[in-house]
Amino acid sequence: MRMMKWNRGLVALGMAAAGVVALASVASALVDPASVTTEQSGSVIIFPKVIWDGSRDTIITISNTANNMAFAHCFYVNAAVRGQWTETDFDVFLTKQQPTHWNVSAGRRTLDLTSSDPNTAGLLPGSVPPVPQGFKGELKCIQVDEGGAPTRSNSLKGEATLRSLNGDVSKYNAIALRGNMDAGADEGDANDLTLDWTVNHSGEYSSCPDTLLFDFFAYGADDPVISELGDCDSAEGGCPITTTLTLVPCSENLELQQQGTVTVTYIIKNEFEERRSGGFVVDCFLDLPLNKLNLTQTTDPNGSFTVGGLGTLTGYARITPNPGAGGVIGIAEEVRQSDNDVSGRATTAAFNLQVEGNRFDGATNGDDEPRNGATDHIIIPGE
Amino acid sequence: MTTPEMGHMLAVRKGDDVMSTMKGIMRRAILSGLVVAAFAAGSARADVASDKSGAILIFPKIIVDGSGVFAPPTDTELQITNTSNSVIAARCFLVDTTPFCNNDPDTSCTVEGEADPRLYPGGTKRCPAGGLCVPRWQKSPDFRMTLTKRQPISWGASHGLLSFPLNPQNPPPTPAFGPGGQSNGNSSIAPVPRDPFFGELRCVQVDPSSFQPSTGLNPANNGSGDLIGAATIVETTPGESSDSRVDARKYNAIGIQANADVGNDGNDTLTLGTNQEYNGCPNALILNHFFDDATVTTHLGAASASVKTNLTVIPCGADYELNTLRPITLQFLVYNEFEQRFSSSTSFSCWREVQLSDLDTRPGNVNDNNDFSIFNVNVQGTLSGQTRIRPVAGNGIGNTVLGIAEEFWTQSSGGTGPGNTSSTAGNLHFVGTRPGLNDTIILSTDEAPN
Repeated sequence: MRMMKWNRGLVALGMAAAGVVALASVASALVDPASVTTEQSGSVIIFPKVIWDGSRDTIITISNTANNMAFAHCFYVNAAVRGQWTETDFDVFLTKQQPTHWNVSAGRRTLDLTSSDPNTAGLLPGSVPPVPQGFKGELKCIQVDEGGAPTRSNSLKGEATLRSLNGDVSKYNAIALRGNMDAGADEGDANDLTLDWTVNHSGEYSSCPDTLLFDFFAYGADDPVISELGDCDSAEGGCPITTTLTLVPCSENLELQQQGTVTVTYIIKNEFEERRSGGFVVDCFLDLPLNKLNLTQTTDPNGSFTVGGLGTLTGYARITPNPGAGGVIGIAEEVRQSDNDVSGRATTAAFNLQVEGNRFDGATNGDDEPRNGATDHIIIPGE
Repeated sequence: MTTPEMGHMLAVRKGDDVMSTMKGIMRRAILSGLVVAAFAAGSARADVASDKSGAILIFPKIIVDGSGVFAPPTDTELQITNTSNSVIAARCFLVDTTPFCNNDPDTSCTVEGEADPRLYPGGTKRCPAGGLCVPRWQKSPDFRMTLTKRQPISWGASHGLLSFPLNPQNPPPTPAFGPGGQSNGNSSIAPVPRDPFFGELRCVQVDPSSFQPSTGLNPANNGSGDLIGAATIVETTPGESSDSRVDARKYNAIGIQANADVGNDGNDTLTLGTNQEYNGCPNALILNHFFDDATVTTHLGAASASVKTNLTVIPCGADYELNTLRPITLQFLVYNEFEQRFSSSTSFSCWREVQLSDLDTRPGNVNDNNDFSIFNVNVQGTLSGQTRIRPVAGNGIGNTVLGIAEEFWTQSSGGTGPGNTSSTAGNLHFVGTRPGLNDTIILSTDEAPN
């Protein structure tokens, strides 16, 4: 009891030190700046997985959550060929609270106010180019002002729907980096977006997470619901859950066409609290099934994420960039199917990863000075 | 002789994390104050979040329909993980919101199905003549769990998890204790009380010794809570079939973060809001959606499907002790791609799942009345819209709401899921918080028998 009272007393002391300041916080501080977010609007929104390969198409929806115009400079990064990523950019402008959408296969290029087709009706958000067939990569949109300079107004949100030709759909929220509206004008290169805003550091944009929290079903494990209610004969292949993880580095130099490379370490706990660990490299864009999540990116039926290697139905992975490295962000997609899936009717469910901490503080030396290379930057081309 | 309760306590105490927890909380109490004072610009607390761990974990929608009464056979796979490096515990509250016929309480129904029986697989009303389908809000006995360091668990809602992985009674070679000698003690999750079942689940992080509400134990997130979770709703065609199909949609559980700067008084009344024990729920929700019945064309015109969106909302506050319900009014502000603005409103008391077009028209689609909804493409004319959902203040227990959205894409033929339909689920976006005390969650003291 005494300890509890002392504890409460300390809490009260802490509150006394902070209370007045906290109460006076400005409206923008209602949002925790220490992390990226998938459910609040931001100044940079990132769609880590965009595909147009003839089989899967991607529908992008973006909206302006503010009551004044929002402008954005968007970049497609095509990472279909490893080591040869290419970038295409375009502008988007949205009126008050305006939503818009486009298919990446077709883009959105014409304004036809007389059109009765809802697929093309609406105020044109700018000319959005299509991506070439075979595109696989990310889309990144950065809020800018009318002159094209980055601005931290936090008005953008978005979603991506991956749709297969056979009708399967999978949807995730874009990942948003919040801009620090209280940080004042950028004193350096305005086109160098520094991801260093944390609860401990009044930087420009939200720092990327220090750790990704990834709850997953063991790769290849039979889905328990389909096993019980549906068609899941092990002699016909069972009804495995197969998950794909997609990660992209937070740092990106779009001026010099240099994409980040980050080596990450993972620590897994299964349901018995048994530990597995390993690592892999995120080189520009990683999109791999869990049975290939290793340094050589080759199939390992007994890998840590697989039903053979994990030992339980589900696992919990903590994915952390190696010391001194920048951050990574991403999504995952789970695929389920009944047995003997000859007609390719697998169903896919995308979801956002959960996050913990921030890379800026996580990579510091303890004196608020980040280690070399550990602060993420997004550098966009000058106008 | 060791009773189950004693065994549980011993298991919890085998690790050193329980004791170190107190020190950790004290350290954080000091540090948090200094941090807040030093960095005012970034000091205020976060809102709720589905992408970060929390001390209250909410699954707004759980479905079980094993026999396919309302839809293809369906169950919900639930995952919860302790993200911290300490033993934690949680008290969980499952709420049964399955609507029932007021003249036959044993028969489950849906408001939409009774209004438009074409929505039922059988095509006929389920309630006896003269019956109405009315909402239910009935709490099941709460259950408790202890999770070891960074331990994930999973279970199907229809079966529960009667025996946790690290059960001291496990026969060799199945592990009974984790590497630190900890176990899940006598943790147990009961199956949902009925089939079909609609409902929600909330879990509150508690002290593993007293089972009273507490802050989190992880300094990396300033003690804001250690629980993350996800729910996957899986539908399948029944049994062996040459045309078997499955469909799955997934959302992250919503976490409400504890305010370690304020601390937690440990009683069963949880206060949510600015400078309260827990962060306040959002001032408004934002849903970006395709307007109902829009035909979305992809693959350069080679594929198309008709889309509908279902919204599920729950009050942020709840009184599990007295089962008190009070209506919440929601204001909807809808913008289409022409920036044209529309508005509507509705109210609910406990849990509501509704197709967007039913928000402002009669339930179901009798006489194509959905075509006249402001959430329908036939009214809006554009494919996508942005809807801001603002709960009206003024209710004592619950002022704000949380929710998820589901999309159902139906093709005229082909498709991957049952009924040529494929679905997605997603978390809504949040805007702002409200000053002061917004919501209260009052826990009950009953516990499911183990």
